[in-house]
Amino acid sequence: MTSLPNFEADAREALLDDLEDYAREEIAPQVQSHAHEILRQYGQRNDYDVEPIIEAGETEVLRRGDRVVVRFGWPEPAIYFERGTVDHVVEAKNADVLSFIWEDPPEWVREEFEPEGDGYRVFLPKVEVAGLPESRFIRDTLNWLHAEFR
Amino acid sequence: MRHEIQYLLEDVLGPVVDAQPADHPLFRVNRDDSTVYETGDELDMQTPIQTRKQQLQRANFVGVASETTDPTPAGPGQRYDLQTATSLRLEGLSAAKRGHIDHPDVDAVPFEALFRDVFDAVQGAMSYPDVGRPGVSYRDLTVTNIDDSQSDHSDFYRAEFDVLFRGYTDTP
Repeated sequence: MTSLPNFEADAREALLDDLEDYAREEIAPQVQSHAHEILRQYGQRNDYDVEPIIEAGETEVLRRGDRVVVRFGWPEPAIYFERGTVDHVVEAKNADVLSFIWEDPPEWVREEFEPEGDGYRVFLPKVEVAGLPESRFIRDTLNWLHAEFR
Repeated sequence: MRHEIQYLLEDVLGPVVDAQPADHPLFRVNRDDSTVYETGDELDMQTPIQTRKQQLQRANFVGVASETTDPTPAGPGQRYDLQTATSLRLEGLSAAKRGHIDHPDVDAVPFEALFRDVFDAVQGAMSYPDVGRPGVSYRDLTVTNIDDSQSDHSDFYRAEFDVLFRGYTDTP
């Protein structure tokens, strides 16, 4: 007769291992792709480049005791896409000026600065940035998750 | 999702509105069609809160909008699991700026208490909410994605959360 002295503990571990695999292979990628799909559509609608946020998106699957935890994260600008922002002014703080390539700029920029890449290389002490509408890509994904894995 | 919005605005939030002090009213907004219940005026709550200073001097506002819906086939026959997501947003302006939220020097309504009243009213409706949509029966509703962090714009107060209605439907 076979003896299984740790049957219960082994069974629990095996179940958690399966769950962890399932979280890593199914839940985490599905959640990410759902969130990124919403974000891409939002980017297209509003003409924003959301790829840097998508590339920086991270998921993590952890074991904490007898629980499997799936964590999702996006870098800081993601929260502004999520909630939306007001028109605001960006000022140079760690340098004397802000420098970037302005694509399709207004006339005064064309007169004052030199073309570079797809636009004009500008040097400015501050710029006014238009506000973002809210995307809800994180909240809508969490709500979808509720429905999907209920 | 007209029925869910109407249910939240009238059945759930009606009593909260009625309980407000006369000097500091709470107005309800249907954010799907941007109308104010109390006045019939138009108000777009999708724009940033700072654009609504004038309105917030008139009253505090609570707005409800529909978000997503996920009917999924369940079991035999014409039956679908249904989850309908709506979002609720509460806004106010400090009494120091002639709004209706408590300020150390000016009495009005404490924002935390107002949020608590709204939140409790929604939680109180959690069991079998009857929204009156034909072919749909909800088992419960649940509050999720609570966001009550204050912005840097300290004169403005805002908080929001999602309300998920969960149940069944005959038609997807």
